[in-house]
Amino acid sequence: MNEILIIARKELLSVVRERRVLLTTLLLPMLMMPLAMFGPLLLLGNAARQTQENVQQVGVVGVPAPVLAHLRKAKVEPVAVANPQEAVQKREVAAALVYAEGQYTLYGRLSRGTTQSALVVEKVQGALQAYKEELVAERLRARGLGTELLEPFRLETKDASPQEEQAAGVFAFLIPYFLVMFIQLGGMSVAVDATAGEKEKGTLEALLAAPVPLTQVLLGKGLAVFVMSLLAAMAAITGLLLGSSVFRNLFAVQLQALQREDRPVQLGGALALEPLGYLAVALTSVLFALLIIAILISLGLYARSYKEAQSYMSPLSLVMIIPLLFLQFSDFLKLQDWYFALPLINVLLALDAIVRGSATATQLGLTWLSTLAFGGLALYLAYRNFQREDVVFRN
Amino acid sequence: MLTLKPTQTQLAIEVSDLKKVFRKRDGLRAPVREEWALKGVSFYVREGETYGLLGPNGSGKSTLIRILSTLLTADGGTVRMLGYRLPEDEARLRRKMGRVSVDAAFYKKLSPRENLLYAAQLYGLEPRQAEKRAMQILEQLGLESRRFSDPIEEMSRGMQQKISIARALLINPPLLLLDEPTTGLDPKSRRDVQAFLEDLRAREGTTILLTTHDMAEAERLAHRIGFLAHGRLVAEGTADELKRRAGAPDLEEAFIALTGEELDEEADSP
Repeated sequence: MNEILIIARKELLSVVRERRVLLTTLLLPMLMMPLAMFGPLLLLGNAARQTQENVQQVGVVGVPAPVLAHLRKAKVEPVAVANPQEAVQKREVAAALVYAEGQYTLYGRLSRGTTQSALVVEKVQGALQAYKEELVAERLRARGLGTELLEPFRLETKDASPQEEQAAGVFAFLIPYFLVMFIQLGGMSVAVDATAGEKEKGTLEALLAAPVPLTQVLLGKGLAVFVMSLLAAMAAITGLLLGSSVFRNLFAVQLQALQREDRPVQLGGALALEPLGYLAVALTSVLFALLIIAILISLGLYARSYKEAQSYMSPLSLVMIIPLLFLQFSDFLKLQDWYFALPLINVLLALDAIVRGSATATQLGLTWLSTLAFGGLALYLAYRNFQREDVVFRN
Repeated sequence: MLTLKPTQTQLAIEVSDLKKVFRKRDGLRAPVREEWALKGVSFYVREGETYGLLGPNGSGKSTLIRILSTLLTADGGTVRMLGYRLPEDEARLRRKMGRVSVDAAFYKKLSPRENLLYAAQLYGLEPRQAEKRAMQILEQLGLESRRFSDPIEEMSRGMQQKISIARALLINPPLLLLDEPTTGLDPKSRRDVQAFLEDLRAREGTTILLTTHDMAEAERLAHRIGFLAHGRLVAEGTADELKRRAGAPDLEEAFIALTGEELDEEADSP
């Protein structure tokens, strides 16, 4: 046990001396998490608010005077254009409205989702809707009828998702991905340094010639990687907790500008769990860290140099993107229990379920047991690699 | 000529018919190729003796040192050191051997003090006692004590190699394996290291197995010398015996005459 701690302490001391590693491992997750969850939203919120408040030019062709008045009221400046589609494409106007034979055609740049043009299109749609409602009310009045005729009943939509899911926000599906990514990235720099790095420096031979059992060497290195992985995960969670509270309070107005009036939702992504939920996140992260450190150490040991080790480990982050895509649409799929026995996918699914407050005991039990089993197997394979001359002295 | 004291007759190293093969594959579909690094090497080193192994690159010197330092397992033959057999007694043997490699490998962000203490702790030494001994050795090697806490990466190659020797001597080992310890050093550092090894041998009676490219170093430090070429020990004896046998004026000519090879000092050892 003593040797494990001596080796782990030395590995961590080497990390502490590399300030760059400390910054990327601890500070980056703390800043990245809230920025990823709220940064783009705030930019969008700010842009949306400015679009609402400022006046934009809209090309018009054959649009009647009352509609022009409504457009101006909606903070849109109508300008005559010869070719509406071309004017929008060339960005001479944010949108264009054409009226011919009782039909309005509205042009905007809509292919890229939420663009300024799309927001102006919404403003024009709002102006036309207001004009339409005005006309309908006028015609009903002419027939001696009230507008309540058009509304035989009222409809209210309420969010019935669990409290944790509501508080987590619409970007919450990204939290598991970031968490596993930071666990991997946090451990990666130490894992590379402790394996391929030692090979490249030539220090691995001195270490292996010392009277320390191989299992202790492996566990010492593993412990250092484990500590850095978990520190990175903790930094990410701290960033998420502090950042989300700061962002949601400081930028409430900007976030509000993005809300849909008919169906308000919590924007961004945050954690709002019961203590048991946090415990479940911690346990899942610990078990995942066990699995990932064994993989990182095996890959690092096989590599001849820092560069080679990094080229083996970096694709792991890309591999994790695939389950993320799956996770985004997980609500459309009926999750089978056996999914929670699949390595990596199970961790993402379990973390997602914990964040949403919908995790079942079977799902968590399967995830934890299978991750522990895969972690144990990966650790054994890493130990076998350490015993192989053709791996340790591969150069 | 270097001579041993009459009492130093026990064998510290006995290597018999030692073989090592590396299996390599040049591509996924290529057949496995066998490269014999050692093809049946036999020699012995007496207690307190310094034995020099001379050989060009690829002759098998580093492989031999790696087997003796328990890093590689031999594919044939027997090794007995300080009364222990390899690989059976490797755990016990590791506590009695010091090793210096050609590349003075260190954790470059750490200071000499931290590097040495780390090594000492791995060998189970009490940190305070290890630190005292490390400082003594470093001072004997001419390293200023004010540099003990600087990161090693800021030090010259010569200084690093001296620290590497200090690390090997922390446990005061009866057996020292030196793999080209002065290669790449400036003349002053080279002389310092050689003088230190002579002093160590005289003071402690340490047995030393030394591989080198440097003929003058081998002649100065080694009681007996073995010529290694293509994984075989081609000739061995004292420097004078080897020169006499080859009818050569110096050791380098003797090496060329007996092995048919030339020593290349610049290239790296395998």
